[in-house]
Amino acid sequence: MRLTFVLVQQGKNQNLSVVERETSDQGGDGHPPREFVTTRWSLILSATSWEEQKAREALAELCRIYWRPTFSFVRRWGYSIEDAKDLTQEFFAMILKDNWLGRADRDRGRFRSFLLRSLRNFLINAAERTSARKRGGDVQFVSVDDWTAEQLSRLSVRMQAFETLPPEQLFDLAWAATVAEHALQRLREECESRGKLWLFQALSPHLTKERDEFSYSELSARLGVNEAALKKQLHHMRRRYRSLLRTEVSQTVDKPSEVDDEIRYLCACLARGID
Amino acid sequence: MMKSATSARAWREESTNFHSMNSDSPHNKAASVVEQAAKCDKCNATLLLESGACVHCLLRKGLQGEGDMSATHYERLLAEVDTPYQSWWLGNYEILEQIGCGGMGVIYRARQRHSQRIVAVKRVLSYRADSPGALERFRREAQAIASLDHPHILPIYEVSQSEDGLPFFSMKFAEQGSLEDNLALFRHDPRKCAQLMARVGRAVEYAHSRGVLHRDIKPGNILLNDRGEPLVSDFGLAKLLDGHHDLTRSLTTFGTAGYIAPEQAEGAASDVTPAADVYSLGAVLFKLLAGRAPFLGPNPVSIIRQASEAPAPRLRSLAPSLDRDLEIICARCLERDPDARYQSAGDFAEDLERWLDGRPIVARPISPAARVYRWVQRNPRLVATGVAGLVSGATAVSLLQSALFQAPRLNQAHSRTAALPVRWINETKSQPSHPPIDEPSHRQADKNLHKIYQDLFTNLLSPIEPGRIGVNAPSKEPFLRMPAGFNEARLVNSDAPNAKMQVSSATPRPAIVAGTRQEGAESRPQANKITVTASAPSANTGPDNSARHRAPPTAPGTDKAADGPASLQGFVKDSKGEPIQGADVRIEARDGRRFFTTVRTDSKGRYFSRGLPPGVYRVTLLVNGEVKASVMNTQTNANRPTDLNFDFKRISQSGSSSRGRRHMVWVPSRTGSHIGGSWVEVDDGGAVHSGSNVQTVTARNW
Repeated sequence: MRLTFVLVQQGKNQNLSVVERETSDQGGDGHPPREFVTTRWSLILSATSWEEQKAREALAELCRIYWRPTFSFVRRWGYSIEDAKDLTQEFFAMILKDNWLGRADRDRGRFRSFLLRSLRNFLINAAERTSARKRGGDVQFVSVDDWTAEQLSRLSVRMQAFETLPPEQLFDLAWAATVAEHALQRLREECESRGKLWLFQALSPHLTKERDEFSYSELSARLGVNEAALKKQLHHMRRRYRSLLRTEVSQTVDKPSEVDDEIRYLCACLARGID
Repeated sequence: MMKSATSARAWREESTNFHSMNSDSPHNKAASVVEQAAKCDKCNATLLLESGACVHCLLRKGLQGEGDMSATHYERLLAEVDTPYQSWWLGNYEILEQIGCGGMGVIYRARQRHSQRIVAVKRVLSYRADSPGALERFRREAQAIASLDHPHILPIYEVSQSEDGLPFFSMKFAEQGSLEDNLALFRHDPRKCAQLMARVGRAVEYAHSRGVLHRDIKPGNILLNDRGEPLVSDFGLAKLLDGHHDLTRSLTTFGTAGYIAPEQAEGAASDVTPAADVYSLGAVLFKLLAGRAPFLGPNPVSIIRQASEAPAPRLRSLAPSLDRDLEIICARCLERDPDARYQSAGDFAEDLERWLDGRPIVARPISPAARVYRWVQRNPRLVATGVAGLVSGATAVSLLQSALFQAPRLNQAHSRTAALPVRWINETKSQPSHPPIDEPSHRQADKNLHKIYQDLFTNLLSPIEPGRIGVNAPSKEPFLRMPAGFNEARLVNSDAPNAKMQVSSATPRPAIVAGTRQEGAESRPQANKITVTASAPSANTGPDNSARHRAPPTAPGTDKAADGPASLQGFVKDSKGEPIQGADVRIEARDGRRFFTTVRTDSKGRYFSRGLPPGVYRVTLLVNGEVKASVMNTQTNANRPTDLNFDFKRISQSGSSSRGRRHMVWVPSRTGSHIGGSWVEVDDGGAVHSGSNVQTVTARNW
């Protein structure tokens, strides 16, 4: 699903992503102030008619990122893979229609909960529609098929969990994984573009480990980097990952202050669902 | 963290088999379901990413407060690791070090596994792969180089794909680096410069003869082998001259300021001819001889602006000791008018070879008549005023038309628009009492804008259907003026940051002024695109209204029968044959004009656009804003409607034979976690409706 082709080569994230505004007094203390000016979700919520196109693009972008939870949810609702594909694309087609923006308002909370609520309502009414419009009918243009057929980094979920978890929880799990994975991917890209992919490959498995859980000296010998520098780099990488993760989450909430709550919520889901 | 690496691997293998599973499999493609999932050592969670990272632990990192770190700050910290580059493998190549990183890809020095040969490996950066153009450009580059075999073009060895699905290719490693790195070797040796550039010119001539335009010739893209001989590289912006490979970037400027030809910087890609490469060759020669590029400026936009507004400085004004013939050769390449340059890269090379041999060169200073012609082109309004005051009647206009504006052009398509400035002159004469109060004050100074204005105006003089119209304006402050018959307009889209719109109804034709690109945002020297929704007064919207069917005013002296309006119409239907209402059909001129219009399908799925200038158009169908199909070359004919229907069928990949016409469609796809897409050439299944001049497009696999 790409909506950006009305303007050829329009940057996908142009004007939509979190704006990082670095003020002059940030210094080099490693705590540069970051001001969340516009998140994709807040852009959608505050869209006026003038900005509608941008809001639609932001919405399309969010849908693009978060198709996986949606698809998982539909599957878990009891549909076959083929039906779930059709329904997922029908759902996206529906919410990407112009009038959907009008229904999103500030009382509806975060993008995740709004998407889930909309999806639930959509599926409740889907039964009669699917028989009438098998395989998507007149809205089969959103090609979820193509999204899912690609080589994705997939999640590992226990069979038991998949069978027993309520769809909402599965939705949240997939959501959490998407957020965490996107941030990791961006970190990888930042390292690669600076010629430090090797550093990412060596250190990223240790992002979540404690000091005593692996051997710096072994790593140091393997990489030919002294131990102190390696410790520093791992520390930096953790901090950068933290920023990227929070940025990722911030795109789906209305206000920056909600980022912590959203992460806590997702952590709680994970703790409940997959222990 | 993992208790068992084996289980993760087993899971990965299983997930790899997904594609071969049938749809009854209990698995789904969004989450891999395993009997015994690996667990995180730390928190016991079983939700793990493919890399084995625990989602729960990763998320908790987001809560452990240590302050944010910006990308630029992290970049600085990464640079602190100054150890030798750590090797890793990309396919059969051991990556030794990174030797370059461009906007699209990264280049490594690498060692081939078995032959131990040192090669250069270029790959797309994964975060660029989601850009719709990046993969296409990368593919095109590989395709362009692979089709070329010349001693002075960097050869390609292998095209392959990495484990993460991103394409890469290996090519010859140029031992001495680029010309950019070795400028000092040539600086005070004009003969050496001429020899080098003559070889480069021959290589470019060869590429042109194989239908490939380079479009980004600069010192950084001319590499030197161990003998110091040039190897032209980086065909990332190459254009294949058959015209079918420009989908993603026809409206965007690429190239490098300082070396890019003005017409390449200003216009649609379709305007670019081999003369653009000739310009770049001259700019490189200039840099070698003078030690600096012809134009300098604080930012790319100002450099490009200078290149299009002012003649290049004389070479000997910077290096007086140089031979005059070299100055003439440079000046000939750097002409702003493509027609005034060498007609081919081969001519450029030959003149350099003549100079090296001591023979007289072919290039000569521009004639006084050519100077007058160019001055007139720069000052059309002044000329118009003069014409209005001194000469009366159509005779003078037609004289002007034939004498000034019908210069032969390399690009055949230009001849169709050769009379445009005359229409502009007519317009000026007919409305002397309406000064352009709603136009930017410095419009006079902006020749390019002026031209755009003319093109648009001419194209829209006759009312077309209510819908979206627009202009791709390579200007700092693009604007467009509404044609007669439209009484309302709304800015729909613009790629200019901070675009503004002002609708003025004070003049007979409301004008829209849109887009101001802030100084700080000028790093993207590309065309601004403005699209507006235009509504015609109700009296003009009825299908039988004669105003809509009338022929557009034609310039004096033109053949009305041949230049009558064309129209394009058709249906858009879904897979069940039901009409699709509200789909946008974008009709974009492909013959050098920058005109486009978008019409919308009605409740019966019909669309029609009348009053089009006859010509070749690209017709793109968008449903819900998403590109569904694009028909590259739709010919419209004067006084005759052209039918183009879009008929979506869900065709199984294996089920249909490949026959009929081929066309390009946009196929969304994912690479890693990035969703992008590509244009692919598909067969329309041969479904052609009866009747001549009717084409039906059937896209597969939507």
